[in-house]
Amino acid sequence: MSDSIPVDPLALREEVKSKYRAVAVDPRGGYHFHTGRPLARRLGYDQAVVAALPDSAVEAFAGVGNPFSLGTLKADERVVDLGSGGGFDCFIAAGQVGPQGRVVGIDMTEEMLGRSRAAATAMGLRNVEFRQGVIEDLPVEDRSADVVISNGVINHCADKRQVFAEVRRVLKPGGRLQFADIANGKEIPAGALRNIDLWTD
Amino acid sequence: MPVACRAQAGRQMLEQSGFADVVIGPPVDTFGGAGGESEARLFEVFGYAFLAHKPK
Repeated sequence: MSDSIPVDPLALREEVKSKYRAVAVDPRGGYHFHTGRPLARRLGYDQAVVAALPDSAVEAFAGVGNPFSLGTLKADERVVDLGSGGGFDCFIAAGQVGPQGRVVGIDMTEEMLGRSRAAATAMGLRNVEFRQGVIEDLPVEDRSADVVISNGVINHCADKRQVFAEVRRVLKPGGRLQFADIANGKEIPAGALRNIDLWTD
Repeated sequence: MPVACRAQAGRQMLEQSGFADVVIGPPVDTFGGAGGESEARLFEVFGYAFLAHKPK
């Protein structure tokens, strides 16, 4: 992975916002990726847990893997979700950490925040909170999180090293980052790397 | 699909960013049957779970 950034980071951010605004408004709109319950099934989430969630908590899910597949969260842990979208992974995390735990979802898209907050309210969850922000500059206190999770979001950021620096800042010593993202087996041509659509589709 | 990195490059970046004990899970066919499947196949794009620790 190169340190150089072949696209304009601010233009990329606006394009990502636009794409995920569309998903928030119309989760079944027909995208290049799966969404909702079929996606959660494909990615290996516990189907009993997913089935217990209302449609409003699941339908805008657009992750690329399962951040809980390498270990479930522990009771009472403090969790931060980078790019929480419709809140699906936050709701899964909230169930794992229990009522004494705490989950903070960070998202930059008003429409996703509206969706996730409404779903949390509908479920009566008191241990989940959603904050507006970007993951390169997290609105989270230093050394406050036991775990940082994320799903299909870090790859949308041009400056991944800044994201990881922020994760280190908010994690407690000994804390862990468990996330899902995509990776390619074949080299992507330099010309394609400058195509902003490839970063956001 | 978003521009990805190779999974092992992701491990290297995590370690260079100060994380330790990095674990990468098996590939998942994230885009199979979706509109982006052909592009995913072209670049062998899969989903992976990553686990990394901030040293104590």
